[in-house]
Amino acid sequence: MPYLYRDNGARRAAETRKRILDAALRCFAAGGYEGTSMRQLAECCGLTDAALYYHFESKQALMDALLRERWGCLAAPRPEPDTARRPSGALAHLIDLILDRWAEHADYLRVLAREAHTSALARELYARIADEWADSMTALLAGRLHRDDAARIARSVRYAVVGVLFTGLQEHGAAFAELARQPAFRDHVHALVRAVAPVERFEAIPAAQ
Amino acid sequence: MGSPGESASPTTRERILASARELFAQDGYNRATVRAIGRRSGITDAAIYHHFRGKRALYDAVLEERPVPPRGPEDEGASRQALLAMIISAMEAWARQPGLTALMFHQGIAGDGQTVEANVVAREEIIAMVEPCLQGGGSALAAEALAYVVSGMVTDAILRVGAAYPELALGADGLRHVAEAIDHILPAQALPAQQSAAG
Repeated sequence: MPYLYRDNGARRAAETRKRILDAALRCFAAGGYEGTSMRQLAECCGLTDAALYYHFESKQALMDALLRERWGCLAAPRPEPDTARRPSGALAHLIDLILDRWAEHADYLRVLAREAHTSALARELYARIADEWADSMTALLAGRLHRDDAARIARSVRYAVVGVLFTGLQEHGAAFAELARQPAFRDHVHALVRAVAPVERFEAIPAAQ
Repeated sequence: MGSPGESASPTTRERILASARELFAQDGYNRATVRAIGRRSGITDAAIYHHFRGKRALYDAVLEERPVPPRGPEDEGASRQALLAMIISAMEAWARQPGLTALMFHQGIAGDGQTVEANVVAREEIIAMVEPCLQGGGSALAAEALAYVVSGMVTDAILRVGAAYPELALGADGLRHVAEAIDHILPAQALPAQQSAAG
């Protein structure tokens, strides 16, 4: 029995911790680090200040845990190499996956971009995410294009996509997640990507029949 | 006491603004204080308030005096070199005050209306600058795509290294990446006849 109690306690603690991180993500995305107090965060989770401090010793510790533990939500998808698909189709598929990530994790992206001004951790995590995405894009194209062409096209696409993402987050704020789900916006992003990635011009390896 | 407009010695005002620009860039808008700006510039709070209503007015003045890219040539045609030179000169203009450029990104993300507007203007300037160089159908889309590549390069570098971003965005690799993006965008729409031949 004591073990059962302990397990329950640990599970409850883990649930509370998750609840705190979820609330912190929303509050930091909306109000920023400076604009959010530990008291507000405690209220958001329905906890006392003391209970909140039991889980996180300071606001900074909470922010760091949030950045560290949630960055995986933006890890690059590794789409199955689909030999039947032309590179342009494969790239479009990857862009769709990226847009899905934006819609789902816009709050994390906003927090990361805000924090990067003063936090080395946020900058490091951004670099990790951006590099992973570029690698994933290059790997996807490398099967069909020469390696160098794949890398340079992936670079142009990555910059265009970063530009669209952070411009969108600035201009639409909390509404950006919804925007990223709208077909008209998604079509426009696809059109922009096609403009910077004329893959058919570089297609050197014949498609498998 | 005359009005602030009459008595504003340009050097005092400029010293205050220079300190404000540095401090905002270093600490962000929220953490910066008028007092700290005063300490940095060696000017009393009272003197600062004589020139500016407060922190917000200081920020708006800093924003107002941001570097603006030179205007593009009037009539250039589809020249890859002209396009590359224009984009680099715009990036160099922003890089003259790298701290301010980084600050404008973060304040934009924080949802500051004035900053977002200034950033929109900066993007529109790039589009207006490059579009005359891009001809044929799809030139508006191509210009927009190129503007996003440029803003994406600057943003990516800011998110990696902050105010040191020109080392990346305007380093050898950065310049090569701009040229690459232009190569990707240009022939596709400047030479539409080639596309149908390839298809």
